[in-house]
Amino acid sequence: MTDIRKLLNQIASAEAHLQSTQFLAPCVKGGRVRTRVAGMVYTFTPKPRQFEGWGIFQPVDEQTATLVEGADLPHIAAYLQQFPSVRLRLAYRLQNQTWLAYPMNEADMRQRFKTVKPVVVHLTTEGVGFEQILARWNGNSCWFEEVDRRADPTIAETLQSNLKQLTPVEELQFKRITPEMRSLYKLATQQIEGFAQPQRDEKRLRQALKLGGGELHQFQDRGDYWTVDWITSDGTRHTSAVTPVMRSIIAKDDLTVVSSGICLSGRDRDFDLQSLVGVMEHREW
Amino acid sequence: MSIFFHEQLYRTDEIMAKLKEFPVTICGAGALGANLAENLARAGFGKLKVIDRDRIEERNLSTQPYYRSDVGAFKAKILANNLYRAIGTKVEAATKELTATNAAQLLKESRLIVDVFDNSASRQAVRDYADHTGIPCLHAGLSADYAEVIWNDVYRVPSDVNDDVCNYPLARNLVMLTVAVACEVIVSFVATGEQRHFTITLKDLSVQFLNL
Repeated sequence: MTDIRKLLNQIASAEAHLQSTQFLAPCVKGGRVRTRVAGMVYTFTPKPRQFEGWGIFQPVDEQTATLVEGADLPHIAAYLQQFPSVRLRLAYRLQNQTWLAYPMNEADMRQRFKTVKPVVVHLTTEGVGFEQILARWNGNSCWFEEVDRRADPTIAETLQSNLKQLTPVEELQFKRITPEMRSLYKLATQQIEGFAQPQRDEKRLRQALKLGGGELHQFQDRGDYWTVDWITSDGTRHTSAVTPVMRSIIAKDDLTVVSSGICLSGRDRDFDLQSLVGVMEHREW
Repeated sequence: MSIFFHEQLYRTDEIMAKLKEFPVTICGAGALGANLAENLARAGFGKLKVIDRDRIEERNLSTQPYYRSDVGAFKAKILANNLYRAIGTKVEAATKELTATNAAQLLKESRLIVDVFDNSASRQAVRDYADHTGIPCLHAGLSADYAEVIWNDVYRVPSDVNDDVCNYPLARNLVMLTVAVACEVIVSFVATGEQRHFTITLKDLSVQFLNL
C-alpha cells in the first residue's frame, strides 16, 4: 500500500516546483488558466485579468499566474497536437474570439466524439462566418487551430451572400451543398433577429405600405412573388403582386411591383410598393 | 524522403546539411524579404530570422506572399507562421525597427545578414554593423526595372530620395528574378564561401555577373 505521507510529500514537492515553472496555456477573456502537476489540475487567475490568447504563464501564488509573454505558433501547435482534430465551419461569433461552429461532417464527428452538436470554439483568431476551420477538442473545450486551407473558399462566400440576402433555409440551394451546411446556415440565421422569413416579409411590406400611407391587410407568398392585399387611407382595398428584388441577384432592398391591380399601361415594374400607394390614391403617374 | 527531396538531389546531402544549420538573418519582410525568406526556407535553410517592423497593407499583396486576411498584421510574424504551417520550419520573427542602437542585439547570432530593407537609414545601419563586425552581408535592392545583389565590401547605400514607401513602380517579375538570383548567391556562399555580385534588368531579361 502506498504510504500516504510519501504521496503527500511528492505532491508538495511538485507544487513547489510549479511555483518556479512557466507553463503554456490558452486563456479566454475573463477566464482562468489551467495546468496539471502530478496528475492534479491547478487553476489560476491570469494577470492581466483581461488577457485573451495563448500565453506563457508564471505562477506567483496558489491563485494567480502572471503572463510572461504571448506563446509562439510552434509552441501552440505542439500543445494542440496532443488532442484530436476536428473540421468545423464557423456559424457566428458569440463574444470576443469565441465562436459557435458546426461540424463539417456529422458522421465523422459522431464516430469519433459520439455526439453531433454545435461546438463553441475558443481563441478563434482568424476566419469569418461560414469559413471552414480546424480545431482541437481536449475533452472539455474546443480550441481553434487554423483556417482550413483545403476548404473551398467559395462555399463560405456563397453562404455569406445568401445570409446577406436573407435567403430562407428551405430555399438555400447551390452546387455541392451538404446537409451540414444547411444546418450551419440555419444556426447562423437563428441569431439574426426577425430572420424568420414570413414575419420579416410581413414587416417589410407593412413598413413599405405605411410609408406610402397604406395599410397591409394580408399577403401570400407565391414563390417568385407575393400577392399583397392592402388598404388605402380612404379604405379602398387593393390586391397587388410584388416581387422582393433583394431576393434576386441585385442585392437591393426594394419591392418591385409586378402587377399593381390597376392598369398602369405596362409600367407596373416602374413602381415599388411604397410609391404604388400614392399612385392608387391620387392616380398621379 | 524529406520535403527537400528535389533540392537534395540537386545540391547534395553535404550542402543540404550546411544549409540546415547556417543561421541567416533577413532584414526586411517586404517584396524581396518575404519571398527570399520563403525561397530559403523551402530550399532547406533551417535557421532563419526575419526582422521587419511593418504591417501588411493591401498594396503589398501583388508582390508579397500574404493573404487579404493578413492585412493589418505584422509581416514578420505572418511570414513565420505561414512557413511553419507550410513546411514546419521555425522562422524567428522580430517585429522591431532595426537601428544602429539595436543592430548588435538583433543581428548577433547571424553568420550571414541579408539586407533587403526598403529605406536607406536601415540599410546604412545594417551596412555599418556588417563593416564593424565583419559578418558577411549581402544587399539586394530594386529600382524601377533594375536590381542588384551586392556584397557589403563594395556596396553603396542608395540616397534616401526613393524612400517613399507608398509610391514607386515595382514589377513582380523583377522581384522574383532578384529573389532567385540572391537565393542562389546565398546557397553558393554557404557551400563554397564565394561572394558573387549580380545586376539584373527586367526589360532585356538580363542577369549580369559583376567581376568587382
